[in-house]
Amino acid sequence: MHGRVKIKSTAQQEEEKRKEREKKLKVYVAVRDACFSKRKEGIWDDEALQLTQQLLSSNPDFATLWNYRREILMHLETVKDEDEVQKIYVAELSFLESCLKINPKSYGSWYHREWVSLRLPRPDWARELSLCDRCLSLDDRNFHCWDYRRMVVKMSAVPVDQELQFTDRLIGSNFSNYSSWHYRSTLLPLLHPVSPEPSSPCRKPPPTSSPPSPQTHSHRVCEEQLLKEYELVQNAFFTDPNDQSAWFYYRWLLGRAEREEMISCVYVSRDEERVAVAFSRPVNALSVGLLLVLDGQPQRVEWRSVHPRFKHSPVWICDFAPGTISDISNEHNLTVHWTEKPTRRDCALYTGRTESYCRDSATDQELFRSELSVEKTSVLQSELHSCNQLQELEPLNKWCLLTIILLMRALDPLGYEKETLDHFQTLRDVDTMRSEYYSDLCSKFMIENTIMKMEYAEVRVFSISDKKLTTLCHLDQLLLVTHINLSSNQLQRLPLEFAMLQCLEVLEAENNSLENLEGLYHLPKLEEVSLKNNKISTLADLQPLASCPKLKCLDLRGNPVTQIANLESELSELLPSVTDLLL
Amino acid sequence: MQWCRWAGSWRSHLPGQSAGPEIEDSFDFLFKIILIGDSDVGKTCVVQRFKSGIFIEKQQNTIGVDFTVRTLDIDGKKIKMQVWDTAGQERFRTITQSYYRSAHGAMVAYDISRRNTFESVPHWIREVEQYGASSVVLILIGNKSDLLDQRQVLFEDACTLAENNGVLAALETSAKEAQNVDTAFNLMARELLARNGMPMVDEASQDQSQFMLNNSSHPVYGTGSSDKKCGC
Amino acid sequence: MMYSRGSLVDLLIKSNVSRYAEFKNVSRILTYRHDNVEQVPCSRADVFASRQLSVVEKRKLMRFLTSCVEDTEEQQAYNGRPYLEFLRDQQLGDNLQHFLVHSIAMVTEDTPTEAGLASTRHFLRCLGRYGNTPFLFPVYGLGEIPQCFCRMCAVFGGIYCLRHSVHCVIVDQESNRCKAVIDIRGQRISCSHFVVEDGYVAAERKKVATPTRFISRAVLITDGSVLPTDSEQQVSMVTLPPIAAGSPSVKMVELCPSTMTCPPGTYLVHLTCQSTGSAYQDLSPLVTRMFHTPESHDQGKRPSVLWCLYFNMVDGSAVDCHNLPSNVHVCSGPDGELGHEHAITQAESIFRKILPQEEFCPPAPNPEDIIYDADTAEGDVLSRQTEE
Repeated sequence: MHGRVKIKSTAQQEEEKRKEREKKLKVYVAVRDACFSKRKEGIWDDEALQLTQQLLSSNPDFATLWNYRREILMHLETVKDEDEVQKIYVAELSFLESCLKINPKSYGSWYHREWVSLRLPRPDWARELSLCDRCLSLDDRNFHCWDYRRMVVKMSAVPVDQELQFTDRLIGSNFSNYSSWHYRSTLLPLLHPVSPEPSSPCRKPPPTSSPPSPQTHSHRVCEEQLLKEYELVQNAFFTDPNDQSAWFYYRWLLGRAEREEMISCVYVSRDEERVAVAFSRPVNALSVGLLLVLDGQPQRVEWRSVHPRFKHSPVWICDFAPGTISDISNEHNLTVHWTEKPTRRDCALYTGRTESYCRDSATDQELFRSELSVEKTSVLQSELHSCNQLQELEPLNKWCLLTIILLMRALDPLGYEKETLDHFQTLRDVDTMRSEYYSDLCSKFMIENTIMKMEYAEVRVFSISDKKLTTLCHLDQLLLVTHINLSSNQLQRLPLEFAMLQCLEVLEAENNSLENLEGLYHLPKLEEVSLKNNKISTLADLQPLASCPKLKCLDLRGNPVTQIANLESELSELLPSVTDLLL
Repeated sequence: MQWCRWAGSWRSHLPGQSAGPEIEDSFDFLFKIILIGDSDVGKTCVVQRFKSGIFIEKQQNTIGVDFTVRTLDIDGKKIKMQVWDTAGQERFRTITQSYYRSAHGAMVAYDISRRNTFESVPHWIREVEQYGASSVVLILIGNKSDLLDQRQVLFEDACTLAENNGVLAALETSAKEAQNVDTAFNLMARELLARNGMPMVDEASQDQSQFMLNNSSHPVYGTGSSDKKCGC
Repeated sequence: MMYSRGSLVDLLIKSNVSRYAEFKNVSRILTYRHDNVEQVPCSRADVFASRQLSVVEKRKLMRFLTSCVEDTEEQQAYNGRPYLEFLRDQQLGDNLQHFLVHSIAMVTEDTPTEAGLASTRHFLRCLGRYGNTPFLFPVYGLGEIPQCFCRMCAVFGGIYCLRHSVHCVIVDQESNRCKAVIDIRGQRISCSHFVVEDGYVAAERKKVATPTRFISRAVLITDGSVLPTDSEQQVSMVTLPPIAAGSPSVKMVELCPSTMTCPPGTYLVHLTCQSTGSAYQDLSPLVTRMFHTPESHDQGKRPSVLWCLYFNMVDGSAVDCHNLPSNVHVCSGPDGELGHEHAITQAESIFRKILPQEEFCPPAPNPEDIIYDADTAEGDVLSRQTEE
């Protein structure tokens, strides 16, 4: 048509593109082969640099070539003077910039950049930092860049407050960013450390020559700053309550304290001539320098966990040589030293007593509150208020519900027990995928509540029936329990940790779904076990009971195992000590 | 070599152009160069020569093609030169203002064999000054230097004019005989490179840059949030 | 001001005309109430950072913005009833109602719910495509857009005769077709089609809404932003609800120097509304309140007006022409709306009438794909009178 611009047809264009691609591929393959053969021959020259550059600039994820390049550069370092090396590495950085434009998430390019930056005789960290900022402004969740940036910050000693402002900026533009929140959590304790004396205002971090690394510092943040952080993160989760990153950060803010490491309980029994020690966290007693002193004499004992499978355990036991403490007319003084910490606990076994123990009382131990450690309950109370407000607006938001539960636990676990159970039910309904997780968590909290009640009542009876328990935990806290009632729950097994109940005499576990009893392992005092209406189906399931020497009464009614012929005779062979058997 | 210069600070050597096909489309800098001047001074031929090294004798009024791209390698930096041709818009001296917008450099072309095309040069320079950015780099090229016997414009006159108008350089070119065309563009690229620092760093300092429209969009952090969040 | 989605943006992209223009995001949406300029939080980041909203308001706003995208029966129940009523019943407080009605939907308090929701959704769809607000502004001004189309046309051989306004039209009585136009210098230019802006059409041939609708406009150059921030380079869309009963609601755009529309240190401000009186009557009360002018008496810290202009123009959206030769096509003048849907629809329909077989604004080919051919001749002449 007249005056019309002629355009190549689609087929023509396609053909041209195809030829171009073919040509490119040919060049690529040829150059690649050249690179490989040069490397094989150990040639480290400028041409090799050029060839690898050609390939890497179109495919920056070719790891072998980066390795080759590093070999060449290291060689050049040995033959050139510092100025020349500087020049080569600066050129390398600018080449890497173009690679990062092609693939901003290339492992190879970022790794190589770090490698080059660290070898550069006169690095320009400010420039690297601004490169990171540029990169993060394009993609604020590029974790390669985050990693690299952390290295740059470390090397160039960027002031902590400046870094905190940096996270402010990133969170401001998009708060769905784990990296920013997490970075904040490492910076805040440095900038606003908790004061040594409680309730004094924030103090300035001490001037240090090099920035302290977050790992070596306390993770606590002073309260004034905490309140600001609560406000910030609340803005985030009110704006978008489905964004996990803010909730995770919030949980970090709420629960920072770790329990003090200590020996929480020492128990000694005359009958078994045995000592059991409970720690505040699982340890390997064989490597922490545990020393048992009896009446001033260090004892050579062999510590073992309650089950050979536990290498780390909160409960460790050891036996005295026979006859050491068996005479009931003797009084003994025991001390367990944790030489590594150092900490210790004493325990006196008086004349005429068959056992003795020494431990922290529940009140000064505050067993389970340590998860949330804000000193002032009023702060927590107002946090709970905010979350309740959000929950009114978003009754089905799981993050909010879960946080409310945690806050309630921190404030008054027993007082809020009913609400907690209700919220757990809602959670199970709205987030069915995680219903088992919620059940387990709920079980954990119910067990904690029961332990607290037991401690307050100063009894050694643990009774938690009809609470929909799906799992057992905190069993190390039950070291001294003699009677346990777990009936009418949803338990399927008594886990190995159950073997920590070294004082247990009576176990009631009717109306569960128990099919596995592996935790009834070497319980020295266990006499009575009721397993009525469970799912024990084979004789082998009962095998662990054979390791309990004092077992006398066993109730197996309502279990599939009772259908087995000759059960009674089989059992009398397996469990000779049992005298009262109910089938 | 017939070129002279006043502005900027140049090392005396001009590099050879990078040869061979461009492996891929990455670049360190993109510069937008406009070509202006009266009709028939050979602007399109100059662009053709620069782009593909060929010379097409019988050029009609340019229709449809208004820019071409070539990447130069200068000191290891890939410089993408986007050269805009008027595509015949100058026929009535009615080039739209947008032609001058965001140009980094302008080549003002005249025909050494036609005096009136040289006399229009001040007009074109004024246009650039009026509609372009203040930092546009100007280079004056007297094209058709192969037509020596028909010369109507002295090179000295061109140099004087260039000097008086803050033009970077004046050169005589021949698209036909491939004289000085690449030199002119290399000169332009070097000056622009010298005036623009680090690409990534510089862009970062502008808090809000302007952009071109395309179909791809920025990541949407709009209100439509979803539960899926990639953690990193 | 352009929406970042819609037929104009689509057309610019599809035709490659976009290669001739550059854009800036409108960087913030502002509103004016209680004699205060406030930023309207409209994106997720804005809501998060906002200091005017309580956390509960934040949640309510976010929930409304995410939920209103879907049509619900609840919404339909409000059809025909004011949007404001619907919002009130959603338990959104005064703050949020104000933002939603005036700044996000950009409607009035009595706009029906369905219309309010439609504009809210449009706003949300445009949000986040290129930036944190739904608006784009072409660098150097909106006049660039027609210019870019003209340039594309010129590149493909279109010829423009600028500064030749049309004096009269020669019409063939028999065929009732326009044969040529005579310009003011007496030059005759033959044409097969004649496209003209409605301002050139004689009044007796126009059917105009009675009474004629006008737009009131003001253009100001000021020495500062109405809401200064750390960054001086803000492009702001400001919605100004009626300051008194019966006053018009006004849209204001404040442009910073980096839009290339005003010198460094100054701001260019456009105010537009449907006329209720003269432009001066409609707009000067607001200007006096928001800026420091010779008329304002107090010494509040407001930007000063360095230069201003008030004028009225006919609202082109309501004009319809008749009794015209069949090959004369009229396009309407500017109207008071944001967005350019009408202009694009009209341009396309005129194009279809002139060249029914042709694709409207096809993509311009890549330079590499054009075949050079010595026979390529001078292009067709598609004359077109533009308003520029």
